[in-house]
Amino acid sequence: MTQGGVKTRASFPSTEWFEAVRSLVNSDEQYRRIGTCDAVVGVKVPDRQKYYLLTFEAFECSEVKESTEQEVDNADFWLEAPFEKWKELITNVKDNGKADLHHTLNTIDLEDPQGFARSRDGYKRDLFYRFNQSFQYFFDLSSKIETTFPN
Amino acid sequence: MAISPEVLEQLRTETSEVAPLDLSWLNLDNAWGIRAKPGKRGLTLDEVEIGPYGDVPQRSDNATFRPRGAVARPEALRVKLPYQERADVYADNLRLLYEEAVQRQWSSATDVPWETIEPLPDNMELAMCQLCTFLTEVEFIAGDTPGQWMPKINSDYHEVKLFLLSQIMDEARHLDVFRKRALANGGGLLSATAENGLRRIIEAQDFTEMSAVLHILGEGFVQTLFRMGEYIAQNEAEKKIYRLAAQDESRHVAFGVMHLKHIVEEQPGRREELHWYYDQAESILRTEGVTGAQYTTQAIALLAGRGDIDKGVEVVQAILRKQVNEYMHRLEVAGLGDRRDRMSPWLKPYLDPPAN
Repeated sequence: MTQGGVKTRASFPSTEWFEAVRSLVNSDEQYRRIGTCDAVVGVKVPDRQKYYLLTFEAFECSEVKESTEQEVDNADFWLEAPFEKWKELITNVKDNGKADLHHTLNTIDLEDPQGFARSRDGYKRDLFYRFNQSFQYFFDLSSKIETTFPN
Repeated sequence: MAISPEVLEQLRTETSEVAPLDLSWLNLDNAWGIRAKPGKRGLTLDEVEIGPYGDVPQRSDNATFRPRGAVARPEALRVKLPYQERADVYADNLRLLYEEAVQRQWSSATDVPWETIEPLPDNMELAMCQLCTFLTEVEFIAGDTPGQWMPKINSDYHEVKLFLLSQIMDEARHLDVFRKRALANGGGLLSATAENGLRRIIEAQDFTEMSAVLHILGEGFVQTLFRMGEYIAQNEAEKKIYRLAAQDESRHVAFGVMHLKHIVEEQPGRREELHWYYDQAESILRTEGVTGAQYTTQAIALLAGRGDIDKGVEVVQAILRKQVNEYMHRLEVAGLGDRRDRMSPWLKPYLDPPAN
């Protein structure tokens, strides 16, 4: 993404990184065309003690914020993976312009015995599948960001 | 051609008589002044269900096509009496699911990047085509079944009709997209299945029986199959087909879960009846397997193992474990958690211990 000719650079995981993707999504006509998406999605990077909440509402991602693990546990569902797995996912998206066949959200979910998408409520976890194309598009758009990863 | 004097006279007579003005169609008491406003998602069903139009009756004697909120005409002809109890057919997420379905429609002709399909090894192409043959067959039932329930839904519960219509459109697209995939890369349609399980769905005698078996058990298991299809996809086209189909299927599952919850809460005396439906349906799964035939399961194993059938069988077992546990979680959300103890001995070994 370029803002005033400067490509957005953000560190993962951080609120700035999610804000940058949110900004891309909300100005993307193709994202709107996928259809409405209503869900509160948590992101957990447990080995870095980082937790975020992403709110998807109608045709936009209305809010992203850093949160606590307890709050994320009350999201509709959350995506949980160690930092290295997140780094692999985001790097793959960057390298290919979008997730390749082995790094889609659904593929990562099925490869993890505990699942990448988790919830305390079986009905709410189904939102991950119901809006999967929207969430995949959200993470695929991160290819337009210069992501850095702290050691 | 000359017009006969009799017809000419008739026309003169009719035009000379003006019928008295009939204002009996005016419904001013009920509706005048109501103005629905669009929200963030546009003018959705939620926005128009206001005032007297938003009152979904617990019971309805409407045996005509009178829309909810319109004034009844005593002379209206009746149709076979549809379901009269809201609880028999309703779910609290119907409006949301219908609008979501309309918003998230896609085209198998133009939204799938068919150009990414490349020749596969023969065994992999044949396995994918067998899976697609099975899925095409399944989608016939998934469309036909809600279709036959449409006339039985009361016009006062139009949200149910709308949702079922959206499901039929979804299933039509699934039917066509799997057929297209089978014919797109040299393999073609292969073997059909015995179809006992599919008959069980279409022969349901009650709406809730149909929904319990079709939406929660059948579509829940198929939704997992679609997700596995995305996982084993060999190209972008297959990835997208399975991902989009899984989205659609998840809406149908969501209706099933919320309808069952509605029934469990509103008609608690039906618990044993619900268990009986699941007893019957689970026993057919035992006889036929989740895919209706061992040869289809073996084709899936070949795809899942990327040609290594032993590795693929392990993946298929892991998927079955997911299917059974997700089925159980959905029943728990609906309030039928005691199914855990009553589940078929064939499925029970796949159940994880209950969450604390």
